[in-house]
Amino acid sequence: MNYTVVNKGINVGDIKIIAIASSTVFLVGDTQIITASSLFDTPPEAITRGPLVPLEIGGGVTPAVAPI
Amino acid sequence: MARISVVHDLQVNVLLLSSTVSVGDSASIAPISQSIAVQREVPAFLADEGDFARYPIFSRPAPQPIVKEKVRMSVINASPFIQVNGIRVLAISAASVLKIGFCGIVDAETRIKHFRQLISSDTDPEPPTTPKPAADAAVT
Repeated sequence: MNYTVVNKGINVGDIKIIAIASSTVFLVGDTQIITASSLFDTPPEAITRGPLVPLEIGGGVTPAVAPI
Repeated sequence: MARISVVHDLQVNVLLLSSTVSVGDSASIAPISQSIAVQREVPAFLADEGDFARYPIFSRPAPQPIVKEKVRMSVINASPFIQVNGIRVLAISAASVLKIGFCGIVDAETRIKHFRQLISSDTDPEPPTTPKPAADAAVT
């Protein structure tokens, strides 16, 4: 596929932004490739009910043993 | 090849958590941010909670778009300028980038794992609060 772009004059007035967050890129200029990926994990299991417990510390898949 | 970006006025209030304001050209930028977001019914948090290594979302490869068709792109810059009068930003956070100028490759990635911890053990959610009956009002 042949794709031709003709960039004529771009004249923007004022830009007001509240927030740019989570690896966002706000670019005033040219670019060739943009790849933006976003991974969220909010499963139903993410909601727990009961006494509040801190998140487990320690690497690996096996659950950490609580110190006595 | 690339055009010249002209910004007359730039105002940024807050810049935090490895964010960048960049003026000028660069070959590539690849910001990455990872977060464990914990919301608790009672806001009690320890300083050293959580471990990215425990959750596969932080290590699995991010799906990438599959380009099946070859695209030959040609750009004609009839005007050599990109002009912006003013930019005002309240906050830039979590490995974000505000850039003025050419950037060849942008490869941005964010990963967020959510936790919600509630104290109430009711399995059925409470019905939405309705105006209290007159009997309750009489008690008070």
